[in-house]
Amino acid sequence: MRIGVFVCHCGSNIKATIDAEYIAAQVQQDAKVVHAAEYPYLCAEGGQQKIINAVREYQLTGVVICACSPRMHENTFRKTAAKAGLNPYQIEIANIREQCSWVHKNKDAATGKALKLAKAAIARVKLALPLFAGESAVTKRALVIGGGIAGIQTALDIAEAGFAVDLVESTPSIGGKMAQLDKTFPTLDCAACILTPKMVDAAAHEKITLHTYSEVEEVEGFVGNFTATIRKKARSVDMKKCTGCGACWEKCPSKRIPSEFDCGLANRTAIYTPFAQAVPNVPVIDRATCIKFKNGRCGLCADVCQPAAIDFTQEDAVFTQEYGVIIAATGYQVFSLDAYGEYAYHDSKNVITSLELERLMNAAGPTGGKLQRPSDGKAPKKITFIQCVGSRDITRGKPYCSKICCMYTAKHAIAIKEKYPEAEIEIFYIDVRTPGKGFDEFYRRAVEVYGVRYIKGQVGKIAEMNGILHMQAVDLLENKRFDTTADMVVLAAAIEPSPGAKPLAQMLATPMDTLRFFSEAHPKLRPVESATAGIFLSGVCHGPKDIPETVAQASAAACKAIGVLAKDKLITNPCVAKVNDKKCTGCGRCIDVCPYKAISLESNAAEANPALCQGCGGCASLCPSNAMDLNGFTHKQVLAEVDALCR
Amino acid sequence: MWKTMIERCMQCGRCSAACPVAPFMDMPPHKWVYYARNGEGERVQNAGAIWQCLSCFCCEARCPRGVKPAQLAEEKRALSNKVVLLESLSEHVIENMPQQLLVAALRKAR
Repeated sequence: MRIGVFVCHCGSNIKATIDAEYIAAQVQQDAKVVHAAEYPYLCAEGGQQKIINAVREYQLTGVVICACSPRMHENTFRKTAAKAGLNPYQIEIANIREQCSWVHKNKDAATGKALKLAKAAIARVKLALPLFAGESAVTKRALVIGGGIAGIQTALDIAEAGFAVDLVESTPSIGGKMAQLDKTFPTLDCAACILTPKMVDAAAHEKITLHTYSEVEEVEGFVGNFTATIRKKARSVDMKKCTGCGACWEKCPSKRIPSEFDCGLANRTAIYTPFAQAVPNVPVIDRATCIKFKNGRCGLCADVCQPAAIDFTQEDAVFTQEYGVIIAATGYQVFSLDAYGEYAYHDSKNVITSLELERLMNAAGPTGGKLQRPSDGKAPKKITFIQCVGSRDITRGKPYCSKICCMYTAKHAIAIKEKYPEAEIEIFYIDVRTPGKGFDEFYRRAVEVYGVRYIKGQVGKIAEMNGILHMQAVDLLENKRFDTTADMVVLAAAIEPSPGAKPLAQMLATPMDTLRFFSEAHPKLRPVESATAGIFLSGVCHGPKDIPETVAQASAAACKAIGVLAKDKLITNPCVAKVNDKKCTGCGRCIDVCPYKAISLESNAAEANPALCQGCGGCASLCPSNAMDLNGFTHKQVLAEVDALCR
Repeated sequence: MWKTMIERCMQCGRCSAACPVAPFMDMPPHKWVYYARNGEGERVQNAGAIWQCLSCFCCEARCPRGVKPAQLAEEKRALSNKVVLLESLSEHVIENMPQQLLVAALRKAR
């Protein structure tokens, strides 16, 4: 073994705290180290060339780079090694920046530690075996889960690049939350006007297959080779025959079912489409409320359906399909206000959430766009908005800022003032957060042009008496507690991930944070990829976002997905679990611990699928008979490293 | 512990909005936390408000950050030499004193 050691200065990042020359001199005491050098920037072209030249000149068979974290430049130096004719897995990185120079101040102590880290890496590289990456094929089809604006945009972008896409949505129509909105900030264009063309495009695109009223039940496989099981729930309506004429829901006698789409502010029938522009424009029968399904006596819809599309005997259809990539776009829901009794949300009909206000302001909503109090249908003269209900709340709510509330509240205030200039509007806020293009200007317009009254403070209690909402509130700039009244109160309730996100994350074996948002692979450098290869994130399932940000992330996720789909072969990571089947007793504990479902039991011994394995090492550290090892991080290597550190 | 707890305060004012006696106080609860955090605890100590506090804990129940203004008032009362003697109050006041105020009075009246 002929080892070369290279110490990087990283400008002053390392050199200011660590004596690089001393390290280069000391490591040469090891008989196997035949060359050691230092350089200001090893990652730069000149630095890489220096490594290549040294490998050739000294016929190196192993290289140790003392520099930044392997997360930063391991790939860079692996490519350098390959260029020099060395196996890319016979280089080792000693992290003397993030784990040494950046966290220590004393130069002598830091240099001593850096030398130990270098020696540990030398011990490891002595036992490094050449590894060879395999190849796997790519199924050229994408699965997008969630049919809101995020899923629609991702599906359209992938389809435009020429790849087939299946878009799965659990409700009867695509469109998601954006379809419920009235106007959009900061330009006030109507949500439906900009969304419906995209919905129609997605449905009409020859590369996109819509699966509405459908749910993903199971996912297996790995990047390039996923297999998903999808359940198409029984619509009880033949999609091929239905013309969307609407005769069925006009005749349906079950008319008192609270409409999910209208947040319960209006009723729907048992056979229904959620809204007029639904895509596909084919109704479903809600079997829980349909009289025919409850007691067998009705069937009026079937009587009036001219194309005879109603099919009461239809059953759920379950199918499996292979995909190369999967994009999660499961979106959000409004946080439950059950824990906030002081705001009287459940006690007064005139205390509503902002999403409910969207429906009340929407021309296609329950009031035809007229702002009316839900209790008596009267026009409210004074409306009070309360911000941060459940957001930034570590005791009863969510610790994060829901991000969209400041802007949509300014939008609501402007929209109300546009329609009803006489209306009086008060907004209680903690901070007004408006980072975004044209956002602060928009908020200032609400204050300066429309005369909306912003009060820095909060409301402590709401009680309805004789139809008037009485509030005790505080104005922090006046430093004064005061009582006020309103005809209607709008709560900016926090948003939280959809309930379907967690089971989906388990199916996809991809990590979530403690708040049940999907985790990205790197918060800055890989924001739309999940930690699991081939799984991408689109929209609010990853964290609170407004529409412009959601669309940007949706396109970014599509771009990353296309990057996989465009390849004919994928290079697999060779640092994966390897079973010694002579030692394996077939106990199966590794199968339980593997988060990637990569291990199976084959003829009484475990077998690790190298394409599925992400190299986490959980199995190797758990195996009671020492039969499982991790390529590139073998037990021998790790122990040699520990020995070197303890010496 | 106490320090990190008051550092969590974001001055939203929900404590003062919830407090049933805040309209009568010379210094509402959110200011107690504000001054304590600024190292001006004596301003809270000298405020009449800590003697008006009912110890009803509305401020703590509504606080989104887990801050406890009522505890702060209790601390300031404990540090104070001021004592209200029960016998100095008229029978009428004692009779009509709300139960919660009586609980708070355990500290105030010795």
